[in-house]
Amino acid sequence: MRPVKVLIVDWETEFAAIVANRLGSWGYAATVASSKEEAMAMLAEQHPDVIVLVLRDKESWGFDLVRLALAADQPAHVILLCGKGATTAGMRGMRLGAFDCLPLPLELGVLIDRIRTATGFNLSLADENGEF
Amino acid sequence: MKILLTVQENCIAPRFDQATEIIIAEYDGQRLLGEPRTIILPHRSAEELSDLIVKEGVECVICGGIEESYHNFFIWKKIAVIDGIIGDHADALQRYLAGQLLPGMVLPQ
Repeated sequence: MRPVKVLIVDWETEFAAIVANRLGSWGYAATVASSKEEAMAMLAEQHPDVIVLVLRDKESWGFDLVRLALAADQPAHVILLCGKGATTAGMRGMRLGAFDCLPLPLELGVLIDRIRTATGFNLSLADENGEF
Repeated sequence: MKILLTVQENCIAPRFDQATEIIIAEYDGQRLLGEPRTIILPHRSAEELSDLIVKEGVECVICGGIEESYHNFFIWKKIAVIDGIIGDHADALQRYLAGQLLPGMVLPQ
């Protein structure tokens, strides 16, 4: 049995670190990526259950990550956090298959609720061998 | 009524404009109504934080140091400010609820 793995992707590392810290205190195994390259590498290595992707503007590299996450052998649930001016990007992400799109500033309780819903209300999941 | 605490790590943020998180608690005059909400700010900004305080309908702000212009703005908007607080945010809230939190108070570790 292992904790639910959450990868937080944001180039503003302070925000991502705070979210990771708070999720960690709720029992999640949260890690941070601050660039596209780092996120892609961590996606391949860690197989996160949930990706929390921050969209701060109309940058499109996040969509590559959404596509890759959803096409993986063990697809991750993608939750988008949309800053000012990124609502259209959030809508595009939802069309690609993201699980949900939440506004910034981030209400922590809402994010935890969406992670719980995405992962079937589990705080822990079976490990890679299918064992609990 | 809604009470808002500006937070950095687990303490009241030393400066209003440097807060990275806020906690909003609802209080009926005798007890808290539900769990306080934690909101993580996308970046440090006194302006955006002030907007949020007004939009949320907050009636009391508990914070550390705050610029005079923002302090005056809140007073003008009839929002009480208990500033200059140093220490743990949970302790600050408990003291506020007990009617014991005063501006400039340093809370024990």
